[in-house]
Amino acid sequence: MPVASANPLRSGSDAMSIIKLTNLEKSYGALKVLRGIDAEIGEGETFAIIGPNGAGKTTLFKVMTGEVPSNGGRVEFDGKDVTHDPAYRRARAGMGRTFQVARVFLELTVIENVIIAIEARRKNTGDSDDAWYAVVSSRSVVDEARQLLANLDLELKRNTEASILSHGDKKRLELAITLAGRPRILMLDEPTAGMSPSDRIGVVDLIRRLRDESRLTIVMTEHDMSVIFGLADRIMVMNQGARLAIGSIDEIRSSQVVRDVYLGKESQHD
Amino acid sequence: MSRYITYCLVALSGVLLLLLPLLVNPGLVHLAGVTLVMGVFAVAWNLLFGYAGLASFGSGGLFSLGAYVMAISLRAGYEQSFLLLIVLAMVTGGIVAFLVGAVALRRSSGIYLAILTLAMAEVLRQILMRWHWIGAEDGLPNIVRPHFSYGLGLIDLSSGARYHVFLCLACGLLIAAIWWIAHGRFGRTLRAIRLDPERAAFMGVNTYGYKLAAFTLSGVFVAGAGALYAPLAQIVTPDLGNMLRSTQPILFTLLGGASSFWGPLIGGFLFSAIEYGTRTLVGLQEIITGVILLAVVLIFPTGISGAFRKLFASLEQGEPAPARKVEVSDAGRLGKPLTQRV
Repeated sequence: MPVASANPLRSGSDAMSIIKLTNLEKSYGALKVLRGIDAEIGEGETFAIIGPNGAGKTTLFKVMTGEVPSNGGRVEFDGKDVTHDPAYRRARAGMGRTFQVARVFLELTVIENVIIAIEARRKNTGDSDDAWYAVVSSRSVVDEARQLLANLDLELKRNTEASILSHGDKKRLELAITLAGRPRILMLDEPTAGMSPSDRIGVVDLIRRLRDESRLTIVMTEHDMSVIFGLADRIMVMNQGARLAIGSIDEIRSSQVVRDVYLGKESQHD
Repeated sequence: MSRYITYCLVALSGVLLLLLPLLVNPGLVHLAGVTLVMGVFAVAWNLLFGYAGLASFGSGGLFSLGAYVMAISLRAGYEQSFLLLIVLAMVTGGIVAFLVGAVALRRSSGIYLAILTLAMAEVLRQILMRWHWIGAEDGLPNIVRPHFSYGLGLIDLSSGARYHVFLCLACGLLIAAIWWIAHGRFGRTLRAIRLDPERAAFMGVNTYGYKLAAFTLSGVFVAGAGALYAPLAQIVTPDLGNMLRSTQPILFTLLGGASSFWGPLIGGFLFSAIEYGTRTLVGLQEIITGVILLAVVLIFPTGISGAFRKLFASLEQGEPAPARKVEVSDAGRLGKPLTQRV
């Protein structure tokens, strides 16, 4: 299915959709959190979901990744209906995600975090050269982990316990864990939340690098409009659980309804 | 360094245990044997608690199951197949654990899992207490210690000393197998699940499947410990599966330290030593044991093994160990690190 995009190199009008959401609904008791969300995300596209607090962005993330079940509608990933698949099956199919507050294995060292993720992927894909009974991880796993950490500027901290990393480093480590699974789509839930300005610049550069070099499909929620406008090909604006608008950066910027509900307020805050 | 000291201590303890019949009276040998079996029970339980983060309060049921399988078979005259009977008991324990786990883990975790497993163990105990064919409340006494031959001459385990040596070797094998499972890829994944099951799931790990596998494997080894216990005690009763028995591995683990593979074993021997040392203090034994346990848990929240680990770490650095060390791999937390320092 064609998806319109502002970036023809990554997801031009002939790009195939990798994710398709159809009439997605989610309620917690009487509270409707998602109201009939429809969207298609093209392969290689960087797709941003924005909206005020409580708009349903994170819930949409959770429903898309299988963390919580939907109450109606359909999630398709790469043409397959994954609506009722648990999170681990979606992860095996190629969905990788990060969380608003970085979730890493705090008691383990940085490299152990990544090694566990690599081993899980290799086991699931059947390309493990480790014997199942191996007590110490193989050289190739360790090398891959170190390479990944080097790409994310964490190589020097590889033997540091994750619990004492800075917030920014934890976010990077979480990204390393997610990338270790070699996802086809990277879902980033507020990747720069709580970061210092310098860390924020670093993470934005990193996401841009991933987008340009790995041609990953990226779906992200973010409050910082400079991050969104610097990275996204298309944007979906949510408000009170519903889709308010969807389109290119220019289309969203020029939308009066979006300005009234969200961007206007953001600019006032700024 | 602490890892090598640990291995040396384990090897020395193993040799000492093997030679025990030559060094002390039969009563102490028997006590050491019981402690060793209970230690294996505790290590197998800690595969669930320390690695997968699952608290089962019903492991005593699986222990009694293994003991009953062995007792019934030996009394029926199958002592020639003694080694196979141990395997049979382990398989039975594994099957029951799988069935219990498939139900319990699907719907519950935390305290609910603890209560559910406790209830299931109690159901098993009630069945054993009412089943006259297996002795009902009186259990099965007069279990013979086996003698068998596999073409290598007669192996006679009828004396306490000989059975003790066999027990040491069998327990050593079981502990080695658990160590191997806990320190391999499976154990590493279990640790990840314990630390953050949702993060693990988003790495493509079927957390339910892994927990069920851990539950089953733990059941296999707990039943194995029960099977070794039956010829040692020469009597099995339904009380083997009561709540007191189920809490014993928990006490051992708290005393020795859940975050160490060897913690439950250390805790087991310490617990037995305290009980033996206070055996003549009628009426005070439970109080003293309780106070010591309370003191250890309060002063050393990571158990005796955790205290030793801190001591080793401070000795290595030449100064008191900080609460959390930088640039130190997870070597001591649950055995070996995933990677040697890389």
